[in-house]
Amino acid sequence: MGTERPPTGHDVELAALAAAGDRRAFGELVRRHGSAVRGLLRRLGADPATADDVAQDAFLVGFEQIADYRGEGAFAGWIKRIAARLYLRKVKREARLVLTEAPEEQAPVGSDGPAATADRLDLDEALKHLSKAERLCVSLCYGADWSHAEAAEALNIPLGTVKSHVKRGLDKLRARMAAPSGGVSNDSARRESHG
Amino acid sequence: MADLDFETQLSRLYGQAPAFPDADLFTQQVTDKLDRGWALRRALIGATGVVAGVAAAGQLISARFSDEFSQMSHEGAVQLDKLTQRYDQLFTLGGSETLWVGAALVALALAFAVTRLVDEV
Repeated sequence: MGTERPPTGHDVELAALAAAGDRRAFGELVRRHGSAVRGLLRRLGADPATADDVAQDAFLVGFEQIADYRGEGAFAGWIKRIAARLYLRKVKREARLVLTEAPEEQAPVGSDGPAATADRLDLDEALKHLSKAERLCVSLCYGADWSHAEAAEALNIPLGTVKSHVKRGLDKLRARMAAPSGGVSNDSARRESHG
Repeated sequence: MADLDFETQLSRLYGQAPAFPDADLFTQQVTDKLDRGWALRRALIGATGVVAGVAAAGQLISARFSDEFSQMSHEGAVQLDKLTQRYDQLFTLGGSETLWVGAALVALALAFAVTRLVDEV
């Protein structure tokens, strides 16, 4: 049955269909980007059940606000920003978010055994060695594509604190993932200019 | 990874969605919630339309009643026979008010049917 086939096309086209009330088109967007949103929420520090709940809520909110998405950026980025905002609201509401300037739970860096070498490129593994604040700030800025200023405002902490968390987090990730130390990238410059 | 800037690489890694074995289940759960929300909204719109239709019909009929009762008080019992005749007229198909009320209810029912039809299509 042709009518049972899921809609195809570019995300922008599907979003336009969804804005006209086509829930199957939105379902296809969920199918395409559900894992990305769930993954981001886990990388932000949510446990799997919470991540899935928030991801579902994000898509429901996304459907309500789909008319606001006009295709200026990637749909994945748009829905991830919604998900990140919902997650932050949730952790703030539950008073579980305590971001301090001082480093927390410092994990040993650069002491990999042979087994860990295989995981050098595993972002999720490396993220486990960051403090909650570092993980959150790095994931917001690089996973949800927030600027430092946006993260500071959403987290209700000073901009300098966000930059500190990001810098420490990046240092740890770089060491964990054996990246070459380099200069300031375009991404970094862009975030600095936003901040 | 040596030739790529670390932050660019990091953004790329963040962009790679992990594979979840229950991805289809997740999609199904979201679409089910969307469908439930849509069905609830449709029922609410329909119920609101029916309530509005009933209220409008009630207003029309009560306006008719108050009009007739005020006439009664003014004209007295002498006009009672005439009044009875007018009520008879109200509840016959030829009464203009009845026709308007009927038309309004039919329009509401049609609107409800069209919204359901559009949704199904």
